[in-house]
Amino acid sequence: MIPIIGLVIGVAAGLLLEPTVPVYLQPYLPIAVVAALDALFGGLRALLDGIFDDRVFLVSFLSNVIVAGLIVFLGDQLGVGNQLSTGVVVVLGIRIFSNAAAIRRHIFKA
Amino acid sequence: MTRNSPSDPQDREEELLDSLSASRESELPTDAAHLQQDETALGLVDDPVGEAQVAAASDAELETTDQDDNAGQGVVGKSDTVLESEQAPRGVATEGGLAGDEVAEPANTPIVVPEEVPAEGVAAGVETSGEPAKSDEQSDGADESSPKASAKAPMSPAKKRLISALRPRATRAQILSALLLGLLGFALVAQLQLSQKDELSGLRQSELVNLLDDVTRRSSELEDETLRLNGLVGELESGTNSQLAAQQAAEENAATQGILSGRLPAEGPGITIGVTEGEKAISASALFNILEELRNAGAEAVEVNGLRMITSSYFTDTDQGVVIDGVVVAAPYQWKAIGDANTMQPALEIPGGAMASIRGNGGEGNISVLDTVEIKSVVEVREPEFARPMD
Repeated sequence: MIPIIGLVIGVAAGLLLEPTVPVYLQPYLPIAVVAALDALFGGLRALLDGIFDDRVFLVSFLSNVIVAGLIVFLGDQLGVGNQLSTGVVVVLGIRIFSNAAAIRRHIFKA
Repeated sequence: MTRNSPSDPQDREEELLDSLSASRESELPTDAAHLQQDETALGLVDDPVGEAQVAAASDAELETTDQDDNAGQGVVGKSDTVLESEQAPRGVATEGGLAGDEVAEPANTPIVVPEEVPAEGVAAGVETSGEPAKSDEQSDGADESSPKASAKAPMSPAKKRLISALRPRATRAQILSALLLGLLGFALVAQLQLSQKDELSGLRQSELVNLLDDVTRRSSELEDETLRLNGLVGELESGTNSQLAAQQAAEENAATQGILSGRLPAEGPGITIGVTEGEKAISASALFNILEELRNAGAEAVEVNGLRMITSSYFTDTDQGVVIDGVVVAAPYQWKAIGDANTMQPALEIPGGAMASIRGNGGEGNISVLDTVEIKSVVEVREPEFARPMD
């Protein structure tokens, strides 16, 4: 329950404060958000699997975000920014889908 | 410290069973007891057995979750069995010996808490619902007390975990998750606002360069087009002006020619002449003389008895009288002439001129000078039959 409250507070803060994203972060923010979503879904699945550990959740959250950002940054420097960013998003999407499927099996037994 | 061998978990299980029976005797399912066990599980309180369990469990978790690449914390396959064996003691410790119902595992020796008959056999899918102690979050633990658990026996362990996770407990895991989720929500909203407000912010540098090239090229094309169209406008305007001037000139010309040719009615300063007959009829040639005198004096429009005089006008003597331009006209003759009166009147009055010859034949002629003479009669202009304009 408390995590959900935290989420609501975060969203409300975002809506109220209307933060301006610094320019150098702007290309990486969407990828970071998707990576964080992937970590979130992984955490949910672990929760339902009964193996949730908050430390693991924290580390996976941060590492996903940082690694995704690094890959996109590297891609930009190498000149394949578009392709690498697309690839990262695709892979994160696949992981989110597989985690969501596991969660669905837990909850709906289907 | 690696604990992957199956013998270790079983040793620990026995250890735990002993400690359990010891702890159980000091009345269980109170929240205080649960909390205490939570704390031991967390390692917040010094508890040798508990610490060992926690250390083992967390190590095992780290190992297994490090092995997994699938999802952030999703564990599949073989590692599940190892985990289960690791978790069983932990679960039992935190649960305070209640929800051992789910503990029956094919890979483990089932940990059956003596006072609880396992109502649920959890079988099959290691990955799916067949999970050991429903310690979802190792620190969250201790949810339903034993009577509740057995009352909701048919509920799956996953749902139980979910429900237990929803209960607000001020544990480290929940607060940490709350922080991370708050961060996620904040970043999500920021990104949404950014992408809605400014379409260009999400593009890479190369894309922006391409876009800029496109826009520049299009802009230069449009500038060329503008120049061309401006030139066209200038041409059309000047063309229109010259056309207007030409039209104006043509109109003035037409007016002038119309008056002179008898096509248009005219008015202006001039004279009127009244010619009356005496005993002798006035001949056509006498009338013609008057017309010639007027023309020589610069009359611009002449009318006789309502007949406009033009270059091809003629006077003829016939039996019925004088015929002017095919119309029989009888005396008296009323002349109108538009022109300079000071020239026309003396010209008519020249001794031996037109007036003189009329008076000599017994007629009379009166000339009056008027400021405005109106000649309303017109003739239709006939196309020349023989003559044509010379180039």
